[in-house]
Formats: sequence, C-alpha cells, structure tokens
Amino acid sequence: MFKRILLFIIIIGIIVAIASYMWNKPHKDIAAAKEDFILSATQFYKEYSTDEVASNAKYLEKVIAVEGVLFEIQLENPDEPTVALSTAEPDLTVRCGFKKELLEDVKKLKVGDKIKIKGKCDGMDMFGVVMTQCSLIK
Amino acid sequence: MKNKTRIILMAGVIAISAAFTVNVAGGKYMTKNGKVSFFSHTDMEDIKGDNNKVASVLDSKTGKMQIEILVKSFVFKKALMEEHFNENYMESTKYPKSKFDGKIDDINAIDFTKDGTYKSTVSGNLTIKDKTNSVKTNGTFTVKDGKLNGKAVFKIKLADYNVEIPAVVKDKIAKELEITVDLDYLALK
Repeated sequence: MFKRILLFIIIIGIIVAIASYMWNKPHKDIAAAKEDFILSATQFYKEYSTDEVASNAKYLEKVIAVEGVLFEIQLENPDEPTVALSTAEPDLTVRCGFKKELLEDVKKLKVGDKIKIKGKCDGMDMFGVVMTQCSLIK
Repeated sequence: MKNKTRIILMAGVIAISAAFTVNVAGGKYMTKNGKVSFFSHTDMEDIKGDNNKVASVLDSKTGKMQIEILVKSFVFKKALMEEHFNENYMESTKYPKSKFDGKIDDINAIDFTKDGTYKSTVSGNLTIKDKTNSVKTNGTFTVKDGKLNGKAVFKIKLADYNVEIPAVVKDKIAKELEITVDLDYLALK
C-alpha cells in the first residue's frame, strides 16, 4: 500500500515537472544553434525576390548565417538595434534585428564593414529579407 | 567671363537638381523597424507579443499608408506562447505576413512641417492570415524635428480573422485582442 502511494506521488511529481518545464521552457538560443544555411546577403535576397513562397518554405524560422557588407545601422527603435546588409538592389537589404543587450556590439560596426551575422529568418517585406534574434559571428 | 557663366550655369544645375530631389522625395515617410504589440487579457493570464520589425510607408500628400508585419518577428516572454502563437493560432508558416492598406482620413489635419501632435482617424483593410476586414481607428501623429510618429490602439476579434482557440485554453486567451501600433517614421531622402 505504502509503495503504491509512493509510486503515485512520484508519477504526479514527474507530470508536474514535465508540465512546468514545458511551460517555462527557454527560448531557442539562436546564437548558440548550428546554422542551417550559410549564404551571402545578395544571394539571400535574390532567392527571396525570385520566389518568396519557395524561399519561405526553405528558410522560415531556420538559423541562417549571412555574410555581407554593412549598408546601414538602424537605431530608431531602441528595443531592437538593427543592421542592414547590402544586396544587389539599391535600398533593399537583409535587415538583422539584435536584442537590445547587444546595442554596444552594433554601435561598434561601420558602414562598409564586411560582416557575418547569425539569426532566425522571418520572411520578406517591402524593404527586403528580415532576420531577428541576431548576433555577430566573429 | 567664360568662367563666370560656367559657375552660374553649374549653380543653376545644382539648384534645379536639388529642387527636383526634394520634389521627388517630398512627403514620403518610412519606417523599417516600427513596433506593433498585441495584448490579450483574461482573469487566467495576460499574454503580450511584440514585433519590432514592422515596415511601413506613408505619403503625407495623399495620406496613403501601407504596413507590413512579419508574423514570425513577434517575440513573447515565454517560448511556449511564441510556439502556440505561430503554430496553432497564426499558422505563420502558411501566412507569414499581415498587412494594412489604408489611409489617414483627414490628411489636412496634420501639418508635417510644424512640430506638434495631430489627430485623425485611420481606415483601411487589415489582412491577417487569409482574411481581410476593413478597420477604422483613431490615430495620433506627432511631428518633431522632421520625424513623424504614428500611434494607434484598437481591438480586433480573433473570430474575424479565422483564429481558432482550442477549448482547453479558451479561458486563457481573450476573444478580443488589443493592438498597439507605434511607428517612428523617418522622412524618405
């Protein structure tokens, strides 16, 4: 009888532990994750502008390491410092949003720098391809 | 004499091209990193999602306004909320983009050349998932140092956009969401 009660308590304990783990499970750490694709900003945008639907199927929510030339640093939204990489099209870029804790990293960069950024692909809007949860690859 | 003519001619060309540039860019505003948040409140739980990658262009002459929101750019406090939001409610792989296509109804109420706060309703079509509905809301526009901020807070019904909430969690998610739009526009150069 005692054993059975103990077993019951253990099972309940495990269920509660799993449920609370699921509920509080941490966000995927994109900076630490292995990249699914490595490509240049030019290539990335070219693929997206050629076929947005197919590119979404291929890249959405994937971890991408993108290489390119820094076109612009965008700091107008203090919650997400952003670095835009040049593509073959003027004014259309790959926008990479960083967490605000990484503001100092972003501020150190200069227009024209050749950089490599890792992030999560969110799709394409009127200004180009968008990535968030980005970090610099040194 | 020849030199003088040349200088005058050059100054003329520069003046004309400068005027032309101003004219072309005249009155267009854009943001690439605007903010849209939504808030769901029930007695059981408060849920908030923030998107800092909202793209928008605004024509200050016609009042025409376009907003694009990539659904996957929304961030939540809890990873599980983000997962449910993307996979179950918004189906963001199938419908990655939400859009607003509309206009500032009373564009003359806003003096884009003068610092100040102006009000006008904004109306247009809001597309979430595969559903488009017309919406109308109060907008507040603040002009300061050549920049423009546009703000609006309004409510949408989930049922209007084919967002189905499973019975198990229906007490945790409000049937109406509060949407906050906060866009810091830059004048297009």
